[in-house]
Amino acid sequence: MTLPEKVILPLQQNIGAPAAALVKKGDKVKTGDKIGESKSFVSALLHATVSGEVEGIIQVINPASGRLCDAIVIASDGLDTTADFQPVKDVSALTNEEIIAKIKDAGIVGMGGATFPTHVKLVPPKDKIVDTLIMNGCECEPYITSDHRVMLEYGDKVLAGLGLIAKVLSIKNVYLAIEDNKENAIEHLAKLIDEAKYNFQVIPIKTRYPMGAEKTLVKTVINKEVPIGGLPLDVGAVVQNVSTAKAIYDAVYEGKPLIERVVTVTGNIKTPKNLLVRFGTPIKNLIDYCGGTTGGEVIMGGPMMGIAQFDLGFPITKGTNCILVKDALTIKESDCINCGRCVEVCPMGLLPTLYPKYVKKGRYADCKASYVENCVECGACTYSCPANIPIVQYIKIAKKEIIKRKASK
Amino acid sequence: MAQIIIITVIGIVCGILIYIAYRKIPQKVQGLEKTEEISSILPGLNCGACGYAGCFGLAQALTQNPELVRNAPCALTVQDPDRLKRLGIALGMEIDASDLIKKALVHCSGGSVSIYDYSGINTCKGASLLLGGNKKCPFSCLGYGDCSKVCPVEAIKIDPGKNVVLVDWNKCIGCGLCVSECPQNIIELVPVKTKISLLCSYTPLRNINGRERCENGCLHCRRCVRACEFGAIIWNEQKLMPEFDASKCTLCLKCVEVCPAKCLIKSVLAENETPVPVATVSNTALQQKSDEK
Repeated sequence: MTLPEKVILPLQQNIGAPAAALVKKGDKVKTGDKIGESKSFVSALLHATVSGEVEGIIQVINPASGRLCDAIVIASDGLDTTADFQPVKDVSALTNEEIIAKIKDAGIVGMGGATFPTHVKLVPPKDKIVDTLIMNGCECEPYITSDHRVMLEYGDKVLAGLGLIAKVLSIKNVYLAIEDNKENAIEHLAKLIDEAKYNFQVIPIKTRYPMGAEKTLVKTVINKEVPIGGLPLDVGAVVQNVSTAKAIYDAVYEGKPLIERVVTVTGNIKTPKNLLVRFGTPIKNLIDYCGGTTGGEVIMGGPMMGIAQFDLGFPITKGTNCILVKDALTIKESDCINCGRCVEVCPMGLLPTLYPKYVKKGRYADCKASYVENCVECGACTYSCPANIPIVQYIKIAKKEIIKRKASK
Repeated sequence: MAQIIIITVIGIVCGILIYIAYRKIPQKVQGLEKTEEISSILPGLNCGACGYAGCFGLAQALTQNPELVRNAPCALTVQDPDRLKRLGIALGMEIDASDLIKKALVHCSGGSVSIYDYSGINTCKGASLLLGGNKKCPFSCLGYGDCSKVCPVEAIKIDPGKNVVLVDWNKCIGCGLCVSECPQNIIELVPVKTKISLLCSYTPLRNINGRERCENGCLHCRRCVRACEFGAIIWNEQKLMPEFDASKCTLCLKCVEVCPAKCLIKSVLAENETPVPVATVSNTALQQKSDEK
C-alpha cells in the first residue's frame, strides 16, 4: 500500500526490555536505518520504516499492554530512500553465529502476536535438547488470513527461512503445521518442498481455536505438554510463525531489516484486504485504503484477543496481524451460574470460573495459586460464558495486580 | 488404683518442672514488662495492618526500636491523642501527633471528559486496562470507586456527577489501603498538617499523544510560587509540580486565589474548629469556577 506521511514507532514492540532511541528531533533517516537499540539481551532493535526527518519523540499508550512507552515519529519525505541492504550471495557459507547476528540486527520478533525476540529463541540454554521445529501455519484467531497469504505468496521464502532456523539449531524434525481449511496452502507448500528437496513434513491440523497458540500447537503436533510456566523449549520444540520465517529469509538472504508485515483488514470494511504494511502506519490509513468502514468499532487484533481502539491514529506494530471492524456490542455481566463451560473450553486446562470470583474479592494470592499466570488470554472462556462475564479482563487484572504486589515487596 | 497413682506422680513431677521453668526463664527475657505495657496501650484488635503479628508483635518491635513509631505503624493509635500520649510516656519520647497522622488525598478534581464508552467490568482496575482509562487526562480519577470499596471506615464517596472520589478527612484513618488500590496512582497519604494541596497529578513530562489535561488541571504556570510571600511553595523541577512547606504557610490563601485552573485547595483539619473535609473544598473550588463562566 502507499507509504504513510508520518509513522509512529513505539520503542517497545517486543516482549522484554524496551529499546532506547538512537535518533533525536531533526535527524534525517533512511528506510531501514537503526533508530532504537537496547543493551538487554531479551530485546529487539528498531528500524526506520520510511525515509525522512525525525519529528520528535512522543509518548503513546501501548494498546496491547495499556502501558506507556516512548515512540519515535518520522515524517516521510515520500522518496523511500533505503539504507544499504547487503544481500548475501552464499548463505551456506555463513556460520550459525553470523546468521543469529543478522537476525538480531534485523530486529526480528515473533510475529504471531507475542513479539518474543527471535534471536533469543535461537540460542537455547545448553542443558536443553531441541529436536523439533514447528512452523506455525495456523491463524492466531478467526477472521485473520494474513499467515495464509504469506504462505501462498512467499512460500519459498518461508521455507528458506525455516531451513535457516533448522540449520542454526541443527534440528532434523521440521513440521509445517497448517490448518486443514487452508487446502491450497498445504498443496502449495508440499509442492515447494518437493521442488526444493527440503526434508520437511507438512501436517494438516484440525481448524480449531486457539490452535495458533504455541503451547496448544506443540501438544497437537508432537503430543507433548509444555510444563507449567515453561516454554516449548522445555519439551524440545521451537515454534516459529510463517511471517517470522519470511522475515528471517529477508534478513539473512537480502540483509533487509524488519520494516513491514502483512496485516488483515477485515470485518465491516468495504473491500477487505491483506496488506503489506510498514510499521508505524496509522490504523486510519489502512481502513481508508480499503475503502472505509460500514460502521462499527475498530479492533486491533482478532475478535477473541483484540483490543478496541478509540484513536485511529495508533500505529501498526510488529505484533499487529489484524484490523477488524465489528458491530459494537455492549455486554451486561450477570452472575456466574457455575455451568463450567469455561473450564471445558480452556486450552490450558485452567479453571477460569474461579478467577472472577477471586478478583472481585481481591484474593490475588488465590488466583496465583490457581495458576492464573499460565492463562494465554485466548478469550475462549469469555466467548463461551452464558452469563457474559468478561473473564479475561478479570484475569488481566489479576495478572497486573500480582506483578504490582511482587514489585512492591 | 495403680493408674491413679501413676497419673498423680506424673502430674506432680511435671508441676515441679513447670514451676522451676517459670522461676528461671522469665528473668532471661529482657524488657518483657515494657513490651506488655506498650501492648496494653495499643488497641488490641490484632488487625495486623501494621505488618507485625498482632498488637503484641508491634509492641515487641517498638520495645527494640522505639524510633519505629515515627513511621506511624498503627493508624488507630495515632488517631487517638490520649493513647498516643501514653505511648509517648511508655517509650520515653515526645511524639507530635500532627507529624504522624496522615490522610488520603486524591490528586484529581475530576474535570476530565470521557473519550470512549467503557462497558467492561465496573471497576477502576478494569477500566485502566483499556488504554489507561476512558478519561481524556491519563492521570484522572476514573471514578469507579475501587478505593471506596476497600476503605474500612467508609470515608471515600463517589461523586457521580463528576466521576471523582471524595475523601472525608474526618473519617479517614490514614490506613493507606486506597493508595495501593488505585490503578492510576493518584492517591497519596499526606500529613494532616498539610495546609494547601494540589488537586492534579498531570505532568507534561509524560505528554501522551492526544491525551490532555482537563480545564481544572495544573497549568504548571508557577503563579502560586510567585504569589507566596512566605516562600512556602517551592517549584519541583523534576516533577514540574509545586511543593508545599506547611511550616511556612500562613494560610493567607493567596496562592488559591491566583491559581488560574482553581486546582489548589485549602486542606486543613484543625483542632477546635469544624474540620473541613477535602471534598467540600474541592466542590466549592469547582463551583466558583463554573460560576465565573
